[in-house]
Amino acid sequence: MKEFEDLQNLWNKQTETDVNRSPEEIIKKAEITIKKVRQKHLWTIAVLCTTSAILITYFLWFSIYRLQVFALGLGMMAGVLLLRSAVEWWSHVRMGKINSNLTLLDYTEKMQSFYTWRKKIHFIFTPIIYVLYFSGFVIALPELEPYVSKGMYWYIIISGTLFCVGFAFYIFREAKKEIKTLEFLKGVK
Amino acid sequence: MNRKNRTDEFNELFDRYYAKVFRLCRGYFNGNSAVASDAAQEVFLKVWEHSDSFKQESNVSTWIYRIAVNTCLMYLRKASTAREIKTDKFPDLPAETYPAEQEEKLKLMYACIQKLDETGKLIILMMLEGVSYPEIASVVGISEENVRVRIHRIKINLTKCVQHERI
Repeated sequence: MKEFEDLQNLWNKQTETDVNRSPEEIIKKAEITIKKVRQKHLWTIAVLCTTSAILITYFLWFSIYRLQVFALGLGMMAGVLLLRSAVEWWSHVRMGKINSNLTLLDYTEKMQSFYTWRKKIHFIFTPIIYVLYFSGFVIALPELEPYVSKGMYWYIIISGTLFCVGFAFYIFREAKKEIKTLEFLKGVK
Repeated sequence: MNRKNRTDEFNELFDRYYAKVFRLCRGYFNGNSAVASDAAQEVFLKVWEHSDSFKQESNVSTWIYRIAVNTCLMYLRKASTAREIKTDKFPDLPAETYPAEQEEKLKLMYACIQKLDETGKLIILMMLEGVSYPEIASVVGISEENVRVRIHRIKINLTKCVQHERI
């Protein structure tokens, strides 16, 4: 193996082909994927609208019963979750808009800018969301105490705290993965 | 474009480019045929999805190679795929297809390609697939002159690496 031409010949001698794929199968899969993406978008919009409607109803309901503080706490919790979901949905849309037929360097630049934006979300937006969510939880909790049993009260505290910790762990893992991707993209030159 | 024309056009593209894209992906994924097959499928899913929006701005081959290199680049970022590639340093190539020595050299060549930077890997894989220098320049987004310089360097390094089995 003295010259590059030998490597080229070796490369050309490869005969293994991918017999598992056919154009018919790919078209079928592509159409299923397109349908699924559309359905997912519709579902996301439906979930966001329903959550908003529930939020408004809660506000009106608790205002009638003079539980404004509880409504405020619950509203803060639900509101920031709604906002976080909306940001995730927008990220998905933004990612989908990145054209994969750009030149490698343009594509890398767009991806880099997308992941830089995601990094800002993870480091600035998400902590704010967390503080607001936890504040909402702390505000709403004492207001709820007289209306629920002792067991239920502790159940809410424990499950709420576990949710906060679990969700934080999940977001941290995802953020770490995305930051790694950003570092990888920065190395493409 | 009606569905029949679109399907016919897609079938033609599949026949002309699928094997090339598959080999490019296999080279990028260190000879892992299963991952290459999935990535090549993803490339052609995109080709079908965007075939309506494809305008004759660049030629069809450039269009497909752009999708292929961008898909391969990001495909590795999927955690499960990355793990699979990492643990699969020396892929098992089908013994009945290649003589033992050739098989070894091919494994070595794949491993040496992995030593290159991401852009270098994609440039040399396109070159090995017979893509012209102006087209590689148009796929990557660098000047033709830059492509020539980079290919020249990669050729030397790759030959040295395979020759001295330095991986």
